[in-house]
Amino acid sequence: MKFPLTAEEEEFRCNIRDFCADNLPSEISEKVVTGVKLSRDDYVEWQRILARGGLLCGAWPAAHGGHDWSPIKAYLFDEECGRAGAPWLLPFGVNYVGPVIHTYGSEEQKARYLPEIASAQTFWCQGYSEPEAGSDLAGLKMRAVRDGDHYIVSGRKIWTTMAHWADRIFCLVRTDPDVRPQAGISFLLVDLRSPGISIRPIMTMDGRHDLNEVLFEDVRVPVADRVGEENGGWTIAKFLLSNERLLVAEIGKQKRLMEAVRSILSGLADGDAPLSADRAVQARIVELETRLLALEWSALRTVRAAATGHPPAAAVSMLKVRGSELEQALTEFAVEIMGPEAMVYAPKMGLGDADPSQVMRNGAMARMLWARCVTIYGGSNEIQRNIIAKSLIGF
Amino acid sequence: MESMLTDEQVQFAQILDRVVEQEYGGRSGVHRFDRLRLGRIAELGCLSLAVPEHMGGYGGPVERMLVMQHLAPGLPAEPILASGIHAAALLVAALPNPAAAELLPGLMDGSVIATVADQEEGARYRTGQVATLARPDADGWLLDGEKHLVAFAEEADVLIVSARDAQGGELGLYCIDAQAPGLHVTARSGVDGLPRGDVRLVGCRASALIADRAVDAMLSAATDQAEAAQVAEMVGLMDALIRETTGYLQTRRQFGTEIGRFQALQHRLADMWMWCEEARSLALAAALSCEASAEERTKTVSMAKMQACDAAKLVAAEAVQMHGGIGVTEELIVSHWFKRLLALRASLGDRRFHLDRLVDLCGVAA
Repeated sequence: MKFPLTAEEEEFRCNIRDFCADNLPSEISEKVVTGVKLSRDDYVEWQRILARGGLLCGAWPAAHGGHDWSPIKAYLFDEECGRAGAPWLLPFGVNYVGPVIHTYGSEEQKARYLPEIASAQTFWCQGYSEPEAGSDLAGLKMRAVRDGDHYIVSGRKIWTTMAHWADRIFCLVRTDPDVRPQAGISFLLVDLRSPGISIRPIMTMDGRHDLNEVLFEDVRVPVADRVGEENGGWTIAKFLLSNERLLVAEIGKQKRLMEAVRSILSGLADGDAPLSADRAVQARIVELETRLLALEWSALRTVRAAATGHPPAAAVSMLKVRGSELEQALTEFAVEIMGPEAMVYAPKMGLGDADPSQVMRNGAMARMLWARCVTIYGGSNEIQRNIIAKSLIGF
Repeated sequence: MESMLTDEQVQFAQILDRVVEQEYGGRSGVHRFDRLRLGRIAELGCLSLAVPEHMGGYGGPVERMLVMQHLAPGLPAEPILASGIHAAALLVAALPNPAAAELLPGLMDGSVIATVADQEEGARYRTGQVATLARPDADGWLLDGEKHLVAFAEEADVLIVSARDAQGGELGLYCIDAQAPGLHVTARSGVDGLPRGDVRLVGCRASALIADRAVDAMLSAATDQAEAAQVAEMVGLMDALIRETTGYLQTRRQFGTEIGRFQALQHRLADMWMWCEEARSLALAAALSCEASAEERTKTVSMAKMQACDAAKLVAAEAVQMHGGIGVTEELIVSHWFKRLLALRASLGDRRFHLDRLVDLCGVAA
């Protein structure tokens, strides 16, 4: 059953679908669909294609080169790109720090940073978590001490996705250690080529390198690169997280993962019969489809609510919880049906390295291993359940 | 978060909440079927929901959903679903049949109660599995057979019965008057307190309602519409259980503090709420699907009922558990909501039936 959309929304969806069909390079979408690791160039190329098509920053205000997309349009854009097999959009610039700068930044910051984000010329990453500040983000310790027109920044950021590919990092830093934790945090924009920064790769259980630890040793950051007031960073951090969460269910990607399950299944045999003829397997698929439909309608109800005001925090937290749980369920099922083939995995296998069905199974394994992190990042599911319970109980 | 409702629908829902308070106020959870109350509910349009507006009906799929959802916490003892939605939907499908046209106004104002008797023992919700036979005589038709666990069987004025033509085997629908000779009803008390009955037909006098069209498809459409309404009712009951449990967590003190401060309980309450929200999303999808193609409707209703069964099982069990000892008592309304959900999960189609139907429908794209 399709969620009711207006004629204008349907047309918008078709336009995005057509754009992806015409402009998404098949070399890139093939990697995405099969789960082969993408290169930095793959991500950047797609962002620049979108930028040239005027679609990268559609949700931004017109004053900054956007189209003021409604929440539902932003959702439909994300869904269509996801279904088409587009790479993950790399939200750090366009969806995270971009809106922070156009909402809280100085005129100089807007003029300097927004155009290069809108044209995908710079690659950003996010410096939030620290070794001692995970779910308890406000406990972060990285120090920024004023020295004339600069801050001297020292400390460590961790789980920094794609820092090894990035040009810049936005960081939450501690500018006042003597107040309530939330009241002593500032938001800084930092050039990753600054002296004193080193990046250490963290290999994840999928055998791949996406995560990093970023070390800061007496790094000089101009005060002019602080966004908002000194010690006013927590408000910005929360603003950024709220932007992050409305699209968190990633319905387009989930639909693609469902298709991947069917695709893998179609190549598997069970004795003389195809495994897809097994009713127990079919029942599992139907149950996953049901969860996907429930998630999709829940996401769209929430996005509709966002158009008329702020959607309830609990509803947004639910999308994070259920979206991540479904992604794990889908990726786990794709591996479970492989039977003995689920014993093998080659992290670096590329598109032409084996027969297509083997590449597909290998990619499914990579996705399943990576998907262990989706219930942890972006505010762990335990934190989301705290938020939901608090909204109900009041404490 | 009622982002999908118009202002009028929000107001209608508020009226329904007041009706629950007036008609089913108090917290005993036990109400006796009352024809006068049925008449008052009918005045709000609550028994006209399956009938199109140009035939004197009221509202559309969303109004149906709202009535079921908002009246649910009152545990109505009246056949809003059985007569107002299930039987009415079947009669609407049978139009322009004159017998159906004659019955509908009475169903809508509550003066006539109809019930659908289309389930047979062992058929496990398959409305097409019918052994009851119909044979013609000079005055009409005579029916022989048995119908299983018919809602409001003793209270109904008219039973709409499925039977096969004794000659051709064709499936048809027949109307039986409550006073008809050859009709025997054995009352079966419902776990939720609602009346049900096994029906035995021995040369029972009946009139033909419809035999010449796809009766199987009509039965399944009416059942789907009733099950979409059930899912909404289940959401209303889950809302009530979550509200009640939340209130208990806020006030019940143990170890010197409110038990709602314990994270072990907080996270389980969050899970109850998420299951219920997903059921609410699918209740809306199921309601709207009743206006879509048969394929779309069947698939969406089955997914919604299956998910609602899972959600109801978890929410009801957790609500009792978190209330502790008092949760298992008859005195607390929680146990009555628990039992109503139990009956809804077993009525018209259970989880297994819908999973099976979905596997048949969707298969697997090989």
